[in-house]
Amino acid sequence: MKRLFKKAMRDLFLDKRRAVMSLLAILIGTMSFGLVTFCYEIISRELVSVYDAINPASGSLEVDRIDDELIALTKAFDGIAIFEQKAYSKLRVQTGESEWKTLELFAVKDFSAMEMNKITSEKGSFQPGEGEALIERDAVKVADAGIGDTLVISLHDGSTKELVITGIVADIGLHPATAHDTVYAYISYDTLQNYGLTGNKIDYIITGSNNSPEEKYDRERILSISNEYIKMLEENGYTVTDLEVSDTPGLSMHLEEYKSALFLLQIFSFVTFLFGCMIMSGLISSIISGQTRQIGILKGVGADTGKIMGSYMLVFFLLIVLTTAVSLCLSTFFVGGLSSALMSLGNMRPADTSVPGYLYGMYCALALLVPMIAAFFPIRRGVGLSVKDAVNYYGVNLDNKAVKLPEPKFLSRPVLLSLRNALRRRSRLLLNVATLSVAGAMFVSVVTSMISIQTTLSDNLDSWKFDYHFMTNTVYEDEELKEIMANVPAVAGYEKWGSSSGMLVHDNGEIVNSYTIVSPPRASVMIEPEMLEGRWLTDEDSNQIVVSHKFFLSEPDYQIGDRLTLQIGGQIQDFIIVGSMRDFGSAAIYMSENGYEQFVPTADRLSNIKLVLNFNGLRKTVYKATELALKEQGILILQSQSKSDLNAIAAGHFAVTLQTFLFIICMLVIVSGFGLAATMNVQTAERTKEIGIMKAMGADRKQITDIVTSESLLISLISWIVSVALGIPLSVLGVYVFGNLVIETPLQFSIVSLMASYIIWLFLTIAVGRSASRSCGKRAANMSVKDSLAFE
Amino acid sequence: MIQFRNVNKIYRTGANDYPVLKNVSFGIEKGEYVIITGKSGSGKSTLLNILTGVDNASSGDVMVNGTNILRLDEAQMTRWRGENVGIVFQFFQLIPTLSVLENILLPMDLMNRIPQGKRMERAKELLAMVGLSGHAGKMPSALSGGEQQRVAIARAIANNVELIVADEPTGNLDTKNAEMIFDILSELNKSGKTIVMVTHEKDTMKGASRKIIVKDGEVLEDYLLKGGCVQ
Repeated sequence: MKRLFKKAMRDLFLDKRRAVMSLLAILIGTMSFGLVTFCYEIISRELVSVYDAINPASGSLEVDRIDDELIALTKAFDGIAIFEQKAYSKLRVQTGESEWKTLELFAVKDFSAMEMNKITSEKGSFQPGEGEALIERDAVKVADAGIGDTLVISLHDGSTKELVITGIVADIGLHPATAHDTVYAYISYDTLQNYGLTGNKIDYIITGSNNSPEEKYDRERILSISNEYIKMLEENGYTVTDLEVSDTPGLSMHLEEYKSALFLLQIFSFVTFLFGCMIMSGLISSIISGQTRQIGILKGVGADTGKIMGSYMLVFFLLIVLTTAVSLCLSTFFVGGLSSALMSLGNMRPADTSVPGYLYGMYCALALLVPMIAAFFPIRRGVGLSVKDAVNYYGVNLDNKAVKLPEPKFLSRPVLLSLRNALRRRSRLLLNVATLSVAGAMFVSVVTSMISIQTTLSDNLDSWKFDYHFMTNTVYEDEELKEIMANVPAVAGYEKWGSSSGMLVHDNGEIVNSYTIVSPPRASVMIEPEMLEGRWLTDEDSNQIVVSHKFFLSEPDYQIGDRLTLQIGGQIQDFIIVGSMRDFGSAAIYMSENGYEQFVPTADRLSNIKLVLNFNGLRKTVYKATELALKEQGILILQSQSKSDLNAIAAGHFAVTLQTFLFIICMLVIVSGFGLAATMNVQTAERTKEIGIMKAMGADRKQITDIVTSESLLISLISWIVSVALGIPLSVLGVYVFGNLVIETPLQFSIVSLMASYIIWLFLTIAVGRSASRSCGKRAANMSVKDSLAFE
Repeated sequence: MIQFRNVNKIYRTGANDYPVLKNVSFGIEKGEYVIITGKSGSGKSTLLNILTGVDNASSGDVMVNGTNILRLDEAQMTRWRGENVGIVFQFFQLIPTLSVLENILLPMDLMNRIPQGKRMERAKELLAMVGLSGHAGKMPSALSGGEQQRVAIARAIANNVELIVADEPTGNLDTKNAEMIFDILSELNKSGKTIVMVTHEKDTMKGASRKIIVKDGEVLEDYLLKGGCVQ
């Protein structure tokens, strides 16, 4: 047995390159699978525990004022366990010369005594003094400011104030600042009052029997108690202007998104792992095939099948143990970094990156078992031959029954030789074509989805026919606005849109959430909505509304044709949903000008002025000049955004998710490439003698290299053709899945995207084919005629 | 045509040097049919390998038609071999995935000396010459050993080379097939080809004009033959 084991070990490393390629393939496959599996576990666990640690509020209300009476009333209200007063204002912060970004400013009474939606100190002070502010860690990049820097903020009256940053905090309950291009800052109540700011918010956690989290964060229960609370406040003379209850209370807004993305990644990484196992199986198959005659001789001298099989299985088991151990170490080493990097996309950090023992156990079992099963069959097949069959084994299918592909006349004899050589080993060809084709189809699917996402985003942005818009609380008369705009040089066209907000009221009278109301003017030319269902607004519409696709994500029970009730400025109004449009901003309700004038009280109206600009220079310069000119005309800008900002925000939302998928796909392609390289090594080694003969006949180095490369390219091209066929259904599925996962709306399947993906994959396939054959082609070309002819 | 001058070949291992050829010198004229014979390990195959450029000599010169082939680099040697030498191997060494006809076409494709349009015609002529016209489309595995060796000879002369070097071409064949191979080589010699053949065969030297006996790396005897019999 010892001798047999030694022989099996030597057989494995007879061709070191082939062994290394195959081992690398299984190593990368096993590592990718481990990495993603461990990440899934850590992120799923940490998103819950880290978020839980901030003690998220059940809901949040905005009221016209907060006074001692309100505090007393709330304390006495049965349904609320704890509550906290906060102030919130949406302002602007200067980030450059004439460059402003949205600032969400929060005032907290005592930072260290926060009981819910807790923020944590990262650096510097945690209790800002007068004229000081804390900045959210993710917003540091947006504001390009840190501790010691001064934020210049623009108040609602147009005046500016300064805030010195004294600390950096983490607030994971908010959307990541970078994804929304927004700065979050925190001030004391003293500063709030000195700057004349208001914004009264009450965060609260509802009571639950036994304080169970299920009840604290039961959305139905929260809505019910919140409505009772609102009713009580309104009965006591307070006006509630906003109610916020998350779609998934108590859970991070990113949890489902992460879980879906990681689940998909896990599928991809498992496929990569399976590819590694298949390549390993191919290696074993080629080793056994090369040793078949020797196995016959061993049997002839008395070695029994079980012992020979046992020796090979033992060698491969040791190798698999080694690759599993290495991949386990690598996965464990990298998982902390990867989990942190992925969680940082949601502005979160894992507190604990340990992997539970049971998962290690399951992973090891799978990482050992699957490759061993893959090894078992080729070993049994090769070792199971009779002595006679084994001794007379030639390995290569030399009969005329071999697969025949059309052989174009223009192909040279050497290329023809490559073509036929590729078909000599049908199972090996099948393995390579299968791995590369599946990798290709998955690649095409992901890239098609990526291009479709970009196209969808770009098409959606194109539906907005303005270059710049700003919000102002001044409601301008038409003539007045015309005069102002005539004095702003770059303005080529403008429209005055209405803006407000309304609270959705369910049929049972319960207030649910607030939504932005947007009202384009009659005959607006600055919107060509991308309708997903139903129709767009007409000038004659009044209580007909169109909702953005995100509305249905929050309110899935509504559909086109349904009645929808809104509370706007204290008034309850019924509307009919006539259409749904794609809009990547926040969930919004679109109302005709008639409806806006009829149902939105003047006091609740804001103007959103949309401009078409003449770009006689750099876009950024024109935006700046327009801001300045508007300011000179006395316009008070509350918020502003250029189309470039919208574009950057939209692209930034999805870029990292897509890059992560692309990374895993690259792993898949690399593993397949290693598989092809290992195969080319085997194929070339098997043909060493043939190569020697050709050299003896005068074939030069280039011709030999070309023969090897052609074979590799041929396998790549066959797999490309198969991936073209497989890529269509997979891309349709990918576009659907990615659309819903990444942009929460089905993407339009575009043939152009698919074609572009095929072309990219074709180039990549050629590159993989060339690289896979490069070293063995060189080796074959460099081998002397004598050595080639003497090769056994 | 061929001049071996003081050719030495020494195999160097870690501890010892093994001289395989010792100061070998001889010449072969154009049109000769030379048989090199000797016991196993005598150095005859090494001699042949040096003549075909498959192996290098440790010292000395091998002049073939005025070219010192030991001074050629690898690329030049490959080109020179393809243009000047046809090799016939003991184990036929046909390419198993190419048909009989394609095996003969392959050296023409590799060297590109014969115009594309004339290659097929020439391949068929060569196949007819070795008596295998009816086997053109067959794969080598479908042929007997003797037939495969005849294809190998046709392949060796595909590029119309002057020198044919055969390394024990009948070593794997029965007497009848060996006879046929000698007949073909003899016919080729009569048509002007120079033939250098290493063989173990003691009796059958039909058509050969000269015999060189190698022993322990040296030319032991070198003499002319007449009518294929020992003179």
